[in-house]
Amino acid sequence: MARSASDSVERQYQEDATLRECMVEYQRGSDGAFDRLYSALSDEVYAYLATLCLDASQTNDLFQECFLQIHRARHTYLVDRPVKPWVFGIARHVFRTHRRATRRRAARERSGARVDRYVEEMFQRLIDRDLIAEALVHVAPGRREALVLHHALGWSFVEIGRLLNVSAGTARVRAHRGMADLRRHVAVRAEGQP
Amino acid sequence: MSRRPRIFDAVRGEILDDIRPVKTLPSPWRRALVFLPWLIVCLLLMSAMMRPDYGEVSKLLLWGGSVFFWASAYFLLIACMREAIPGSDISWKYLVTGITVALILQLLLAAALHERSPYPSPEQEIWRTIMACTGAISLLGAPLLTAGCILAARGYLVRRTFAGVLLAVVAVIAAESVWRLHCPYTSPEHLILTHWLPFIVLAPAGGYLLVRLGKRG
Repeated sequence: MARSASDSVERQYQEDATLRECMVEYQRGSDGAFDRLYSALSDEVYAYLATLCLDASQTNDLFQECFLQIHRARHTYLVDRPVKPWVFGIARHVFRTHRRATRRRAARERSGARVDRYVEEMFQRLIDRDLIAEALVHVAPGRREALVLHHALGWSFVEIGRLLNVSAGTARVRAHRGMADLRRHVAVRAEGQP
Repeated sequence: MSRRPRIFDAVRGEILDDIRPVKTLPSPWRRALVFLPWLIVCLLLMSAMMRPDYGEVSKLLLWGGSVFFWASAYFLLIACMREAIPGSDISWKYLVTGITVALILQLLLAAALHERSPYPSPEQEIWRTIMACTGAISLLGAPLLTAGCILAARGYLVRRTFAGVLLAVVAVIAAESVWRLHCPYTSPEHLILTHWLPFIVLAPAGGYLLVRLGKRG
């Protein structure tokens, strides 16, 4: 158990070092750096946006916009800082800008919102991914964000706290309550099924 | 069929066409050093117009207080610069706490100065003192606010209006801590009514400036 935890920390450390090197090369104008960065981060960024957005077509648009913004903001990355909070900070901003614009237009189609197939894939190791994906919609957005970041993407509570601007304890509580909500909704839906 | 997310060719093409070396942003504390030249110029200005009761007033309360507020303004300026780096922004709860503590300390210092060497503002000239102090603090704070906005706008601001208002707070705290070297009126009412009033002018200016600079960028 302790060994697997230390392996996980070691792996995260190595992953972050690779990403930092990638970002530095990207800032220096290296040709292949963007593609390397993209292949290292695209899955997580997409999953994160899908979690926030819950709409496949909008997630796709936000995903494109996010990488454009990452490109435009690449000069703001500081070498001594981890890459993921920077990238996810931009992703979060892209989503919030989109949400604000959508609210202003008052044309959000809540009824049509559905969990993207890709998010379902993240949960395929769990008992019933369709059930969980459907139940996930009913978890409050703040809790859902912490829940998915921790349980699906493997972020630590400290990292989630930094991203969401809350303490690590609050992030833990949100993820915990999100999981409780998820369990409750899964149970309710499972009972309702034939 | 692969479910891996795909970036559109047009978007990828746009990015790859624009791949070139970029000048990275200096760290927040280095960008916040813009505070130093502003402070030096202000102190040079103030050296010619120190308060009339400078000989009698406690130097510890006067200079110690100002140094403390310069340090506070510098740290708040660092927070503003961090706003321009995604994922580095400081929680608004911490900032509000920090600002509240700084303002309460300003009040306490003013009260302590008033207790030791009272210099009440003349009642018949109350409007003149309000106009003079408010105008002077606004004028002193405006260059710092503008420089801060320009530096912050070079980054990637997520909360523009918030950053603008925060920069206005920095400008008011910094300008007040310089102006108190000149203004002899020690009553806390004078501090609240005149020395903090410029915030009402500078906060919208900061928010507006950052939104405009953001649109241009």
